[in-house]
Amino acid sequence: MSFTSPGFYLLLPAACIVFYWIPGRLRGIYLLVLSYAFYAAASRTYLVLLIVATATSFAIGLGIANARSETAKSRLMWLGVAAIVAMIVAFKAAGAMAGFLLPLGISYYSFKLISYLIEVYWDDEAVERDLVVFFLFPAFFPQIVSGPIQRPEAFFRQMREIMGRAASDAQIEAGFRFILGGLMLKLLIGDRLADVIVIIDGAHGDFTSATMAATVACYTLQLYADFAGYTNVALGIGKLFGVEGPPNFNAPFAAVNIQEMWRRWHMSLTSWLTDYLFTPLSMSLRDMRRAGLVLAIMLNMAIIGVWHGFILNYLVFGLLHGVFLATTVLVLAATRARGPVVAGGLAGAAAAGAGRVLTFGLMSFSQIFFHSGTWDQAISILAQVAGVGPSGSLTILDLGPGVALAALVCAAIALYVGGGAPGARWAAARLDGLAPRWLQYGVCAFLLVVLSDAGGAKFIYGGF
Amino acid sequence: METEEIKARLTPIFRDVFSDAALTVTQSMTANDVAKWDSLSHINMIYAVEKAFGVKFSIKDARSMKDVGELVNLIKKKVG
Repeated sequence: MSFTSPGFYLLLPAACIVFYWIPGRLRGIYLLVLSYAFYAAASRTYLVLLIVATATSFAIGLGIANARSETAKSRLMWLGVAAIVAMIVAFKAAGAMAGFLLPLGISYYSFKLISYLIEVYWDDEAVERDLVVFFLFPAFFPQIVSGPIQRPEAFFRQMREIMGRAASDAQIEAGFRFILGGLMLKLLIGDRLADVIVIIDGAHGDFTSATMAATVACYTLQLYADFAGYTNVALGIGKLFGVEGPPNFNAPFAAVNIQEMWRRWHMSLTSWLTDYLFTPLSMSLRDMRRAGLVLAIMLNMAIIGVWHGFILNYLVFGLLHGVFLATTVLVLAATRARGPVVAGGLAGAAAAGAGRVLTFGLMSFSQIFFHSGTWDQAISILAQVAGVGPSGSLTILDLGPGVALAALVCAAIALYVGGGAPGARWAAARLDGLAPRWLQYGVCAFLLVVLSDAGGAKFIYGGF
Repeated sequence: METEEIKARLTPIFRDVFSDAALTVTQSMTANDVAKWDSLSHINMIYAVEKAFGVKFSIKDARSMKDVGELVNLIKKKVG
């Protein structure tokens, strides 16, 4: 069952009402049953895998907390982490070679379980002894499809709270708003851009080099609308059940360099990797100074790449970002070493603007590899954009004036929202004075139903 | 080594690593209080402190420090 299917939204309010109607202590079990039913609707076989992985992590977590010696704790932690990593690697490798579908959410729930084992290893008190609360952590249905990857402590604490308190009106309204906004971003912006991208990709040799360059920029905008849209829906559904999840995006297009962009893009994954991979790795390599730092960055980004799937395009995407990021970090360090940088007024604004354009350009360049299904496709698009490959004479206007205008409007909205939607708060406050909230939501829901084509909608990150 | 002495020696290290000439180390200071204290500069700070005090921190040490007070206690323990 998909977060874009109308049927899901018929069941969701009922599931939510029952959740707050039953006694608090039963809410955990109820949510676990809901989550497993949601998972079973996709695959019963892989539900067994999820349960086995959860039970194993639960037992190993208890083992780490109860172990007396540091060596025993360390061995148990490594055993658990290695088992989970082996599970992801086996499925990703088999997926890449045989082309079969990955178990739903495996990339997300396995990362949740790994973080739990490492946290317990770092601090015995992080251990969770409540079976229901623990089993819910990886399975929690709003986050299972594509994250966000929540940390154990934040989830356990909120689950315990919701079992002892009444529904919060403000949280439920926020949940509703997030779902509505997320669906609009995904279905009305992302999917409309995707329609145009599919047409142009299919015959890219017939289009001009400039049209192809604009299409590549749209890869970034579409991915943002799709994934940020999904994340808002997931966060919104979580809120309906009393859980505040971690954000994935914080105005990524406002970033003035690639280092800042990675702090604003797929944040739940990047902060996970920073804590559990990059920091330990750079600590181990700290005696190598700069070379160690560059090595840690390259490894970290390569893993971000192949986390999406074991194909060459994703590895190249990761390595490209490794080079961008390492260069940025070294250049920034060298600039700071020369003295404090003070650039105000017009010069500062121009530098920030140029930084934003360059950052967006680098991201879009890497998207050629991320977005293209095959290596050959990526190389041929790259050559075309660079003006050295075969190009045609068609432009986006040849797809019809309506298509061109719709693509332009959708791209502009995605760029505006992803740039932090400047002025939106001010406008929303004014709008609240003009029309009641329920009317605003009603209009949004109406637009969603009228303008969207939810029939075959799939989330890009549901495939990872 | 006394807490005050350690803090006094940490201040110039922090000023250098976090490029902030006005910074003064306090017990309750955390990464949230210093603009340039991120995952990258954290490692640089650890490295600089290790060199200055002749100690070695483990990954677990570096991770579990919640504020400067815990760093000071850790240095105290390691220096002896």
